[in-house]
Amino acid sequence: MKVIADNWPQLASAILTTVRLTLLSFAIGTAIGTVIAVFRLSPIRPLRALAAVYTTLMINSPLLFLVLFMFYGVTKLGVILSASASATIALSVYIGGYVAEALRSGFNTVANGQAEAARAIGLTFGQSLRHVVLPQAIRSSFGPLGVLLNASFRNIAVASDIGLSELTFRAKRISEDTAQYYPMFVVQFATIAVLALLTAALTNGLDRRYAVKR
Amino acid sequence: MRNFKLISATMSAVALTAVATVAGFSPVANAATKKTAKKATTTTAAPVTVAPTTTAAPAPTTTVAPAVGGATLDALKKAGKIRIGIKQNVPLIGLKNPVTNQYSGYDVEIAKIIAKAIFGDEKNRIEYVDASVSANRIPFITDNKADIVIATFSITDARKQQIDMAGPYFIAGQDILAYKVELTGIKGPDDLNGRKVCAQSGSTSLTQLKAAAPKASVIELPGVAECVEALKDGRVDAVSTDDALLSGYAQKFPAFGIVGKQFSVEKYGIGLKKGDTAFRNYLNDVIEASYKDGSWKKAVDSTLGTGGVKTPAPPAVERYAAL
Repeated sequence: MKVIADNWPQLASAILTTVRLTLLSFAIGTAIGTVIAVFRLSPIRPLRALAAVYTTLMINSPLLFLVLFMFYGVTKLGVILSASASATIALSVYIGGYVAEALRSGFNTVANGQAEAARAIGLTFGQSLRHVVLPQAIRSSFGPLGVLLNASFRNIAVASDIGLSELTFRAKRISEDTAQYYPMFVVQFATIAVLALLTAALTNGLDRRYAVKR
Repeated sequence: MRNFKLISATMSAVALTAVATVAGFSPVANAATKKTAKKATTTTAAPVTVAPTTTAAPAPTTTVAPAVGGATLDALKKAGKIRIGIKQNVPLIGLKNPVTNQYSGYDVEIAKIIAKAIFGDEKNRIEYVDASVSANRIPFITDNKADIVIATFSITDARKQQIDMAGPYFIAGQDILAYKVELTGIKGPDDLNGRKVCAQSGSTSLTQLKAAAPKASVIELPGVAECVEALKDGRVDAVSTDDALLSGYAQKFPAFGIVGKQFSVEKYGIGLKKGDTAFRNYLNDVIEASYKDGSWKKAVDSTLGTGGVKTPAPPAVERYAAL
């Protein structure tokens, strides 16, 4: 366990990077996902098609591909992104696809009658979305969104391949340098476990407070 | 229909978690098995080390070229195949042709020399294990994924703690690959300070680069090929690793040049399982025999020689006492 203590500053900063970039990606991803989910519901056919294509692409493409593309691929177009920028963008668009699906399942919990009633009292599409459908949809999507956030904390490990100094990358390096693999395994396990429990507590808390009681 | 969609969404979320678990945790799981594997070898290896040294001691008296190779050599002969860790993506060192599946390069030639010594011929005797990712080389040996590793593997004391190393069979030096010096002004490691430099993670190059140019901003990527890609893209100003690794890229991309200021001595050795002294002696014998019969020189000339590396004098093998 001395290895952990000796390398703690490095590990702490790596854990911070993991948490920071995951939360950032999740925030951006949620914004993207919300827009895509709204597109999916919108009365305009091309927007619906666009949203369907986006979610299908993101859900079916490997995250590693997206990360490598953002790192090595876009440079061919003349844009050089740092490892952390590449990872954040890749993870954001990836999460976006899943958030869109999570919200769509949330929309499906809102009875059709509510949208029809909203229209009947003269609300526009935007108004009915903002005041009737979206609030309920989000409130019944906390579960899937929590699972998604939890998965994202682990998914960002993929970015260790492009040299992003997150937890997996740093733990690997320290294991190699010291030839002690087990302590780093414990650190990674403990970190992910704590993050998972925090995410679960947050999700449950939000669910209890805001979930739509039916 | 609505329920179905809901279920499919939940299912994809579950699947994502499962995938994430595998993707995110696999290095960790490996690390765990590594540890147990290492434990197993070290505990069982202790009594084994004693046995070969006692049996190997009288070996030099019967000096018929490669002497006793111990249980490992017998096992290999019985299997009729040897698993060798080789780089697959470094020109002139270890390169796999994806169309023909043929391997070429200096390390491959050395592998063939060893296979020939063990089996009498080398055709279809070598099972190539992809050691392109430098950090995998030690785990391949400790986890028994390869019998030996020949992959520009520098002999260091730290590595000797975990595995044994035969050789050296070549001496390289760390150098710098960049766009031609007229453009960049990079003349030596000092000029790397304040610039972006790429090195392979899990290699000696990385540690030495940090020592030689402490103010350089170092980017770690999995292999030399990735680093050269980053150099081509303009993401980094230079790539720093062994000249032998870089020469192939300098040959392939005329815009790049090797600076030519070696700032380290890299003794390439052959990695094998720790404590297997009998087999290590055998490999050292094979290397020495190849110096004498000209096959070593042929190996250098036909590979690194074509990239402009002058054939050096063969390095003396280091027969250290088991640690």
